[in-house]
Amino acid sequence: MRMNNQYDFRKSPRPLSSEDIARHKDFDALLRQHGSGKRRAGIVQMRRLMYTGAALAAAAIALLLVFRTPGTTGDARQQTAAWEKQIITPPPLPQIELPYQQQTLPTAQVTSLEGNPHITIPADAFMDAAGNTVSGDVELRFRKLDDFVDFFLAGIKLTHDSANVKRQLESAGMVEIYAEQNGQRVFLAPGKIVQLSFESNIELVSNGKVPAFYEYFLDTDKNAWVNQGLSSTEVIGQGDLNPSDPMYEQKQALYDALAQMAARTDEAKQQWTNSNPAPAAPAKPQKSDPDQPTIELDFLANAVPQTADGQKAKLYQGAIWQISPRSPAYDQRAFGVTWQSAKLTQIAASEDYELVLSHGTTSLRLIVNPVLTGSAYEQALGQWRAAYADYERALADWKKRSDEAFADMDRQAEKDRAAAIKNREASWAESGASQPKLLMKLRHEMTIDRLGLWAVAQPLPSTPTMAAGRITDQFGNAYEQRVAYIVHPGQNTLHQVMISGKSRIPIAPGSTLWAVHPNGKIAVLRPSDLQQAASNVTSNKLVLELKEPAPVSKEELRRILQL
Amino acid sequence: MHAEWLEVQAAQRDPAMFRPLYDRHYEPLFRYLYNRSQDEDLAADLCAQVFLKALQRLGDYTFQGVPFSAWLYRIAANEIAGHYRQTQKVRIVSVEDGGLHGLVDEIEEDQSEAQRALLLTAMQSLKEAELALIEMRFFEQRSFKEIADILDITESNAKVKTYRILERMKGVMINNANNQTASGL
Repeated sequence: MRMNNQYDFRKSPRPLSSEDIARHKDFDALLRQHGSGKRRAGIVQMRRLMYTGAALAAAAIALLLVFRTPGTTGDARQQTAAWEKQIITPPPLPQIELPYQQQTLPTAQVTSLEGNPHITIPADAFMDAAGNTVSGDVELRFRKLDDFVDFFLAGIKLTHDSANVKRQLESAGMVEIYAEQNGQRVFLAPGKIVQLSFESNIELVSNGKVPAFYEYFLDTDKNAWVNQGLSSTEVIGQGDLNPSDPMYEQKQALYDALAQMAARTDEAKQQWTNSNPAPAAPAKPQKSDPDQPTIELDFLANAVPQTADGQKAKLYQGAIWQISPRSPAYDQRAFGVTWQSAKLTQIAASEDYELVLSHGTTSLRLIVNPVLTGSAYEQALGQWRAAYADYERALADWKKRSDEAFADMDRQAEKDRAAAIKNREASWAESGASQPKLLMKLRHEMTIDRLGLWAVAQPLPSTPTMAAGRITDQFGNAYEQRVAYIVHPGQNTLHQVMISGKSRIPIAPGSTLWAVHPNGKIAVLRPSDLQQAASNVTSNKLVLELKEPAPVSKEELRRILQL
Repeated sequence: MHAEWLEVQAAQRDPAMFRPLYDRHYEPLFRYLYNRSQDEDLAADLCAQVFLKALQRLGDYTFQGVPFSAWLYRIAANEIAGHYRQTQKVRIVSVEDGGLHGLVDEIEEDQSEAQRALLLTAMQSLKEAELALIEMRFFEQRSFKEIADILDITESNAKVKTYRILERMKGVMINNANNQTASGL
């Protein structure tokens, strides 16, 4: 129907299925493209170094001076405001290092580093500050930060400003990655992508659901975490269980019970689908094409192909068989042969049929379509339209029932899981076990286009706060203009508050608070003491317990914090 | 619509929250572009462009009583028009038998092949905006309300425009039929 005019009218194409279309969907790519459009074009800006360098040392000195000089109330407000703007602060315990792993890589080839994290770097991935491609070897430095102890030691804040609303981020793990050549920082070249994959454990919370996590990049120019879109995170099993854990068997039993619940829900959904199959779309009648040859298949008159409800047979009354343009090539003389047998089989998910004619050892295979002409076609088309409208209604109804049924099953499964976990908490409390942790193991897959600090995290709802007045330790040392660190049980995040006369401390049952004394020792407020202080309406003084000695390792720090 | 406006507002604050809107509108927009290109890969590219532009301009979007999809379709219409301008190819119009049947019905009772051919010739004389209206009404079976939302006109205006276009097409068809008769075709 081509006209030499402004429009090219063509017969409607083969309708695409939803699956055909879904193959092209990629929301994560859309978010990345949207995000990259906002970055500065042209030469990549030098990023501030994450580890202690000259600039950060200067900031550390400035902040220490701030801490040592009480100053006026106005000064305190300014200092608090300046501190709040920083997303990276000097490591509070520089004596405890969080070491980087180091690897020398040849830039000319693809490199894959096994481990946790697993890192794959393409060839010719790096450029220098001037934008020139780097050749030869580079030093890759990377480390994984797992929990709030790591975030504390690295001096990283987990606050995220989303449309002027400050949210606390709960991290499921972070990877920090840099590269250098001859002591000079190098960067990922435009268009080069590094694949990151790492595993982390998160605490199984009472509803048993894995939250939706997002990827965040710590943009040191903006001094902020920047959301990069939903992360690719999957649950790969239960968290690591130590057989020497006195609660090992009980934890294992609960994991098994939860896994069985999940399997039962999946089975129930499958059974529902098997018992409630989706309606099948009625086949659309095909109109004969005058350019395609037709054949007579009288011997099949008593064996018209049909579906279970006989609809197709009705549709094809008066149909003639047309050789499809998709048919294999054939010799015209084949139609002079008397064939001994014929087999007609519908080709799955299409209106094509395979016709195999046989005579002894000779066979002919054709692709044919049943087609209609003239008024038979028009009549069938009218019938099809009505049937299709019925089908669409039935499909919509089926979808609604399916969605409702599955939602009911998911809700019930969630209730059962929550009840199982709550029962666990009750029975273990009765047996005197301290807060045991059940963990889920997750795997995160990321593709990054910049080096730096990447996190998989989710924004948390805000938590209640308490007013905290004067904070001292048992020796009377005042902790003015120092940072209070707070962790809540079951949340892999670290709240940080600058202590002033009017601080508000986020608290939850079981929270632990601590601050760092200038001599590097830790002053801790235990959960029971913090709860007591929170419930004391007449006084909001907090008295921390300064612990000996100053920790020199992560393990010592955990022991002091009892976390 | 109000629930969707809340989703848009969430996405305006955080682009990651655009996902439900993307998931909901991707397939219908893809089909819209596919019908106008009959090229699956091209439709995919254009669809990606539509959503990227939507995300980039989302900050400017305000709820004005029409579905969010109408705004997306306008972007899509511009994208497909831009594609044909740049490539200087002839705009493809997917003609579905049922839709053509319905269109002929509106104008003329005679459903012969000859009438259909005259109809397609008459459609060649339509401006792009007029063709878009006929395409949406008869080949995509959209309601006048939906068409009005997409074209940013009132529903009654959409109806009036449609029937005026059909009247004009009828006139062209009669004219062409008479010319054919006169020349002995």
